[in-house]
Amino acid sequence: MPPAPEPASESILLQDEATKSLFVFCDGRQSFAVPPESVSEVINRLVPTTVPFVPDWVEGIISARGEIIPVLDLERFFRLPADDTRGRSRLIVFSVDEQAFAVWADRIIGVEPVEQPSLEPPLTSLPEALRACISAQFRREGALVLLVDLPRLLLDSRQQAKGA
Amino acid sequence: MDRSRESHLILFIAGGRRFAAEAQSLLAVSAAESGPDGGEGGRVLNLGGLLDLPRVTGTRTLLVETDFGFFGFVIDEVAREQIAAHPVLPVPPLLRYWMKLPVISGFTQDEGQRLTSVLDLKVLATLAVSQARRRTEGAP
Repeated sequence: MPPAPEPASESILLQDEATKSLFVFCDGRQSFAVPPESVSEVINRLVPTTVPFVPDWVEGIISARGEIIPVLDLERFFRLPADDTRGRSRLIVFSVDEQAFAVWADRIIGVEPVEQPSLEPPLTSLPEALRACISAQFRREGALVLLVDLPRLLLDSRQQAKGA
Repeated sequence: MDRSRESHLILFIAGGRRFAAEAQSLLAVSAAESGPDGGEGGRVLNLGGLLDLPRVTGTRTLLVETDFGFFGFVIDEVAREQIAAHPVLPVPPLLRYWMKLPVISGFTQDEGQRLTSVLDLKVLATLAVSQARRRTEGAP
């Protein structure tokens, strides 16, 4: 079994660049950020087709540009409390290590500059499944934004699927 | 890049949902027979029940020959198109990794952009056999 990747939080907090550009989006009450280069496209509301024999956090599949893309439900994957404010109006398609997957968003903030000093380690009070996939966090207009380590998320998804 | 391959599929409804199977994997499509879900001696399976979907009294049975013998999968109905050539898109590696069982061999999409899972009925037959054996081993 390959060793777990080093926590990304240390590397991202020690980077020299004064400002990072991050793609910010909201899923219900929670705001997330990812490197903008990991975003392939944003698709307006599509209903995923369910697929049998997958973990409950795999909502289904969509088709985009002739490609089948699985949809991952972040709320279920991270075992977050149910959030009835989730609008699920758009799907953000990510490409990580040439693997595509999509997650829901109900608001796209877009690419924003984030000052390096404002990046902090993730709160220890975050649920464990969530904290493991968060590189750092920062505040935006008073709201906490979690910077998602997408490669770590994919690694954890494979481990969760094996154990399911 | 078009990664699809063309295959002759039969489209059908099982458990209220739309699926497909590769025609070359089928022996025949016959009238439905009722039967238990699995069981060592039970070779007629309700496909909806096997997929953890609502069981509906079906009208047709898909007959498949496997290493474990012949299996009949009871389905709700066959789609009007019967057997026709369809482009089949591969299962993406990430989804294949997430799947608990490799019961899907690909996906097809119709003109209305509706996606349909292409089921590997031989893998489902293997699942049924292993479930039946677990039940037998667990029985007092």
